[in-house]
Amino acid sequence: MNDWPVEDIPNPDSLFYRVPVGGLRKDMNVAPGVFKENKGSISTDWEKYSTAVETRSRQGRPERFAVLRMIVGKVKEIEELTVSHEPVQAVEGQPDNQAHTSIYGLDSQIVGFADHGRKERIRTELYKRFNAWEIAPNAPVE
Amino acid sequence: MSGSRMERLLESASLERHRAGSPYLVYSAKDERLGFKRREHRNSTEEFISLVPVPRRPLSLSDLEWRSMEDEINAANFVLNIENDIETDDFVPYTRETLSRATGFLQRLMIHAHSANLVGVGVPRIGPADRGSIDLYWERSDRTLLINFPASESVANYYGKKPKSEISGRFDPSEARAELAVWLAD
Repeated sequence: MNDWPVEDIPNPDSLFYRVPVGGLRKDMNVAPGVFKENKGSISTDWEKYSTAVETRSRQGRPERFAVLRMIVGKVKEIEELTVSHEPVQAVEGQPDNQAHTSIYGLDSQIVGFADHGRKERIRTELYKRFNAWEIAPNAPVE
Repeated sequence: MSGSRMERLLESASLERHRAGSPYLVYSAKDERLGFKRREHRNSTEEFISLVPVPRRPLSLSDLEWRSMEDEINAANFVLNIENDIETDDFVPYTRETLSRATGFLQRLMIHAHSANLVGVGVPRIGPADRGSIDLYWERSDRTLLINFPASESVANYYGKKPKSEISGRFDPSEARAELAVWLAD
């Protein structure tokens, strides 16, 4: 049962994306490699229902994570990416999260000649748009 | 070991040290014509070597680029220690094999570029990507090139962009891919 309606997210709004610090280079900078799917999408939180600090803490032990801010309109500028509000409620093994929003399209099921380099193109475009931390790695936990 | 072979080895090692930054070079005693004195052992006429200071050769741009690449490759070993400490479902460990495919390709690319007098290819950042794959990422003022080396197969996928030019595709990373060096350097 999900009482939270699925909403359209305005283009100027922000999504917060949690990035594990353990997978970063020693310089702790954002890199194209931070953009990756888990369970079929890039999982983020919509700022309407979550702060960056809440996103960092959602999985516990927030010191293990940094947070990126991604603007919805700039994500949708990238060919083949879509943004979908998908609140999570009463799902076994997952905490309720009205902010939960998925970005689809990084991984493609279609594998053909034309696809070679497709994922690298999308990651390059994401990195060009979103390469500054909202909450830096090793930032104090609030 | 014969004296001349030992001498060659010492000279070779000395040259390596010099390239690595040592201000000293070992010269053989046969270089008397250059002003170095011959030292003779009491019981034989065996030639000895002399250690002499010489001015350091200024590093060329290709030397600097190669050194910078080696530093980046050494630093990239950190990926082998990345663990799935946040319990990601899609996590695949980063292996030495995948890292070697990426760094071996980078070294071949750089050797090819320098042997063709292509300086300015630049050094990419080496980093982890999804499912145990490794990225090489070049980012310069007007161009980027991202090459990804998957964990499970011996291929590489790439995408590059610069003004009025985009490239993408897949290749066997055991090849040097000269056109990528040209694309980066031109």
